[in-house]
Amino acid sequence: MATVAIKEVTKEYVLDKTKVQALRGVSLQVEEGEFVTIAGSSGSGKSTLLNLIGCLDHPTSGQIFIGDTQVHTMTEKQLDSLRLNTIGFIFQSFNLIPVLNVYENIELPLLAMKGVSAEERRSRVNYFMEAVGLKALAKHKPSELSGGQRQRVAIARALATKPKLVLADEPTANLDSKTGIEIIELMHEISRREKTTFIFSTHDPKVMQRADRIFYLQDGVINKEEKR
Amino acid sequence: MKLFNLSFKNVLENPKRSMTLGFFIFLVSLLMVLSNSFFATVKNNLENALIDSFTGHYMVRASEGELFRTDVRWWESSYVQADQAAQVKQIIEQKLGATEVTARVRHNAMFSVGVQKQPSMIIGLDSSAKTYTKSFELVEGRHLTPGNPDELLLSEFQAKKLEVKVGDIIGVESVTKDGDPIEREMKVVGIGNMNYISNFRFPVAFMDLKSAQALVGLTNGEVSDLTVYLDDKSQAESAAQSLQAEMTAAGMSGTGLTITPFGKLGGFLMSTVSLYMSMFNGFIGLLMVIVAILIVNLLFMIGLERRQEIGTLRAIGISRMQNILIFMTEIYIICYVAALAGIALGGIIVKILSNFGLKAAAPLDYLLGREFFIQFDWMQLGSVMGVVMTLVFIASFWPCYRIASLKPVDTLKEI
Repeated sequence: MATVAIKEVTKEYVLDKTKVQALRGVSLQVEEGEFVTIAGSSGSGKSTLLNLIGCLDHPTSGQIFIGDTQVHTMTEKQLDSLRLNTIGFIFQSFNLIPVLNVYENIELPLLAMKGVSAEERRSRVNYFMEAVGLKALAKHKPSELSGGQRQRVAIARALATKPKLVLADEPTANLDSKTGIEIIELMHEISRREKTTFIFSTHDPKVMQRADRIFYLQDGVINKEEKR
Repeated sequence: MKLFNLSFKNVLENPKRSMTLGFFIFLVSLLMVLSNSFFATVKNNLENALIDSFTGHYMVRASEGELFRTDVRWWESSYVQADQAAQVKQIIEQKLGATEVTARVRHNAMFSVGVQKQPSMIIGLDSSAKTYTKSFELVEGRHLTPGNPDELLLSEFQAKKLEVKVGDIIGVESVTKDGDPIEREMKVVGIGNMNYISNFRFPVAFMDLKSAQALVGLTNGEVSDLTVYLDDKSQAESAAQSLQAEMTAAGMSGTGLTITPFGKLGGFLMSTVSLYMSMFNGFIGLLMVIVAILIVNLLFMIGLERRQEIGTLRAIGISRMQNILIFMTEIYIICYVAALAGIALGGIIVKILSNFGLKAAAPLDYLLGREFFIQFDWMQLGSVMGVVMTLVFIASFWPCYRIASLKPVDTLKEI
């Protein structure tokens, strides 16, 4: 079964009384454990598509499935639970909580999860801190870290809940190209190791080359799909 | 629970803002403790003074209505007959129990010494009367000697007006209930002040029952009332009801006697305290409104500043309710600590003042007494905490709900 299936999804916004069609009938399917990128220039609809897949927004029409769950009919509470248990997020600006240290940022979603013991929490946080190479910086706050280190914390936080799907919206956009490549390679390696499906957006050709599959999005339409 | 670690950290992250809000909560709590203790003490003192000097814990009278009026007319339209008084006294003493049952006659009179004249209210007390001495603080002389006729206890104000001292003889003119003028000469045996209430336009003088009966023309031993004192003032209502039941059982239901607990008398005096309490509570209320506005503004500011954090929390699966709780916990930590500090400081001040009497000068002495011992009450501290925490809940829930209800996609889009 596909991890993500999108069927004829459209999304319209009203911006200053003008209707903007961000997505025009997008359909795609991503299989379990795939490392997929959505490529496109700024304004092509990449973030809108990731927001819809991540259940942060509702489509104007069409259907979205995460596993066998049809998400657009779910209640807010069910969506909260789906985001917590099934989806991990990595943001362009890292979006770490500034008052929490590395350990606490990674632990945060686990605290909201039911049935995760303190011991398991500790073990998962330590495991993922080691996986992203930040164990030595556990007590550091985000302001004391470099951009690359912050994004590594965000990756560990996204993975801590052991989600089926991780969505990353331009995860390398705020990083220099060397660090950007390192982050993508880290994500790819974890994707393989943890069998987690990754969907990330980028407009950087060097970054998109690392993906298993590339969906090219232009003006709200997928106009090309490339398998590597 | 560990999720609220975030709330603790946010409180510490912005100490200036936390302290601004905390200061107002501290101030409200401190003022509430001080004002509540102060007014509770004033109310209690005044109530006790009224009970000791005028109303007793309950009173048996032949007429109804408010006893204390601003026009200082103090005679009754009808009187308790001697046999009725004896029967009621017997019922109380044998069946109900009381610390004191005093037969009294109240009337108005004119005191005169030479050309000096002073209108006055008089209370004639039978020989069992003792409780009045608690509230009548002597400046000079002694209290009444039980059974001695024509002795007079004057207030300091009356003595000054009449220019008399202990041992002087003064003329007491009155009009009997039948309209006949009457005059007696009486000896001033004591001069003093009625604690708390001497300045409430009640120039009261005490004398023995028989002299007062003579001034009213009560030739058959009638009295204005029987004043009953108990061990505990909280029992006044039920004791009055019990007496009513006993009197009915004894066939006294048609005698026209009414039983009035102290709570239904002296309303004019107590309303003065209530007025001051209302004014101060109004001030506290205003301060609470300001604090509520501050909390609402602070939370909306937090909402604006931390949109990214809110969006992130929602995106990673923290529910709306958990978000509300995180923000409310943040406010509650500040307010709880500040309220605790305010209540603790207020409690310490009240506790110290409860051990050391405060000397009150005019015009405050008429409310506080000459020496004022503020009362300390643990329960009151708890109620202040309850009120402050309720205020914080009312002021913070709606803005927290609004903040937590922001759509994650909107907050993340603006980053």
